[in-house]
Amino acid sequence: MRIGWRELVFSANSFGAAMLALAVSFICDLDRPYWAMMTAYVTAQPFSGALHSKALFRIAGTVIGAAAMVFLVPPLSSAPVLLSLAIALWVGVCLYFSLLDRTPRSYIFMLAGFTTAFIGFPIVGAPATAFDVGVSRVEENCVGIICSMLFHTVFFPRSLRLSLADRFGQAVDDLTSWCTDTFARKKDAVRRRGRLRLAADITELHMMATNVPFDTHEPQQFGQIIATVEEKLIRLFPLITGLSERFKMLEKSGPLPQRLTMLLADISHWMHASAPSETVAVLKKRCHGLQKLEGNPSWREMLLFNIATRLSELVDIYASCRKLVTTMGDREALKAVRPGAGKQARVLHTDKLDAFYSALSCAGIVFLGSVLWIVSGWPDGGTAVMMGTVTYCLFASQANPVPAQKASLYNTALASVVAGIYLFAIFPNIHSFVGLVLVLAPVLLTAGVLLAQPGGLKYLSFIVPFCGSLTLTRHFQPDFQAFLNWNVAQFVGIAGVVAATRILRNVSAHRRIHTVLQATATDIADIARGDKRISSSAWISLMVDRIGLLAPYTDIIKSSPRYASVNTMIGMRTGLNVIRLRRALAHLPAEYSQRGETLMSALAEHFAAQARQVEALPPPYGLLRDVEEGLAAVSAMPANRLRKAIANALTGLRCNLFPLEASA
Amino acid sequence: MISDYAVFGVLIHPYMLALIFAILVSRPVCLLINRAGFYRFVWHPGLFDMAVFFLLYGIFVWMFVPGLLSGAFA
Repeated sequence: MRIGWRELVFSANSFGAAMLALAVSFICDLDRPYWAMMTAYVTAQPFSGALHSKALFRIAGTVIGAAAMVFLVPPLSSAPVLLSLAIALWVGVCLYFSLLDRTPRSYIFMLAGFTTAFIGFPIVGAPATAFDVGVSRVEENCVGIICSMLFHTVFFPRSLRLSLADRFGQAVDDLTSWCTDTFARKKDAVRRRGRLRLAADITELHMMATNVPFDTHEPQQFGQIIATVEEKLIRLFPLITGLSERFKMLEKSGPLPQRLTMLLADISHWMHASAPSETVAVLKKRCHGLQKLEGNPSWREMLLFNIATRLSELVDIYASCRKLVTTMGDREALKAVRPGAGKQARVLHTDKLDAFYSALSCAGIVFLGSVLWIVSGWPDGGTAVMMGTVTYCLFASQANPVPAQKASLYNTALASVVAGIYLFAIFPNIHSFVGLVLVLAPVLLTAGVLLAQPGGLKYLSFIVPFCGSLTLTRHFQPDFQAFLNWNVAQFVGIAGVVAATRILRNVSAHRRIHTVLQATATDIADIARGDKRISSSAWISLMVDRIGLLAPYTDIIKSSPRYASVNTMIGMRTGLNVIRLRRALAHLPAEYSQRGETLMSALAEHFAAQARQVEALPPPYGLLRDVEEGLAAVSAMPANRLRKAIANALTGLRCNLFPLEASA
Repeated sequence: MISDYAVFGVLIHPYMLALIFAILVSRPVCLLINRAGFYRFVWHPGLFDMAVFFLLYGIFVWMFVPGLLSGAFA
């Protein structure tokens, strides 16, 4: 745990905002001041840009959810089962859209869903209050949000831009070590770690960067620069992993040529030093010196040519990434930049079927819980269903929600105990608002510091139930029985969801792996057939996202005989080569393009078969023959850029599809 | 007595309505100010944003609560 100046400021700001929200709500005589206090904590963000986006999304979601509740509850209140079904379906629909949108914007949908559950279930017995409760929920949310914005943007705000520049710098450092590990031909495990670290960096940065448009006072160029750097970092994935494979193949037919090893050492050296830009030109020139493809080149020469092309590309991208990242930290330099590319939005993997199953199981759990509650006649069952719904929705997008849900269960239990001590031992002796603030400070300030830690968001599951259990209202009268009932219900609800998720999770993990792999193979088949048009950068972006999605399931994939042979990195590179070949085919003279089409349809057939079966199929021998004939035909072509492109793509295909034959 | 507004049949307090409007409008206004390059002259952007927000809130309250000021200046 890290307790520095930043964490203390964040905690103090959050506490100040919560107390101000409480005070304002007391003064304005709102119904549930503790909701405002909760909201102040939930919206608290270390960066002002992120805070504003979350605040806006929260208000929008709350308004939609409250409106839905106002429409649903009064007409259906005489038929509890129907009402539960309606709320369950609404929550399911909202969760579906929230899972499809993988940006912070998904918060709107999620909140629209569980606001309805949050205020709908507890008032099923008193539908006449639906309007008032809905309105006061929106009111208290607004108060909490304003207070949170006031404190976090006025007192020692942290600049999102500088923090992003910092994190991007770290990502470039991670990239450097991955590159040098690859050049030094370290063990697979070492390189794999580097790759996963960079993939995680990119995903995290992408999520952070979605808040940039909400920062009002940063130069316009900033958002574009981020998109450009992101795109460049993503393009490095197939480059570097491809290089490491080629090195292995080249080494099988003899040691690496000395010119190449020297070049690699120099590039590593250049990456570690803060080098001036003219070295880039020198390094690229040396890469070009390695690229020779004359007469009838041997396989080894083709490989070397492929490596040299990739190296020169790598040097180029690395240099511009580094330059852009340095620019990010400098406000004046930023204004002078005119980034051309990088406007393209990132393509992310969306899985409608998976989102649908998740939403369906959520609706099912909510409905089942409600029916149990109605049948048992337990008065506080509504609270249990409500907490269960919120817990399920909050973690639904995670690969394995069970640990987070369990943490939430323990935190909630702890919050109940602490809140009990406050309610029945401390509060009876407090008679003023200042006294209230003073006694709350130790617990909330500590929780705030925890909340500021990386990954500290899980402590919200302490703060929110804590504020909820205190039920601070103007007319304070602690009632032990009500308190006990409420907290037991909370605990039962979350525990029920943990149990249900555990049962469903194993199935969903396999389904998720299956759909991701299937989508990859189908996409490659479609590209080969010419049905799907996708730019190579969009393809890489999609695949980096898929790799990130599969990362949490590494243990399942490794242990399952079905998936063990599947390699997503190979899928990414194969797809890339197919995209390049497709593009080159359009420019080829008729005598060659006919042969190309045959190759493409063979590829499409192979990947369509793989999509049906999911596990990696050995490619048919005919395909190898087609690729080799293609390579032979390429050497007969006139030397130009097209020939280079096709030679590279075919070499890549052969390496990826037939690693054993290729190294022979 | 300040009367509530009925939005789709739901009664909402005018101060509340003004608050929601101010939250929704202040962001675009600040982004426009940024586009004009005005933030060069601003010492504390966060404070400035909050000031813009409260000014807008004041304007909306004045718009939604008729006769609020006439009483004060009478």
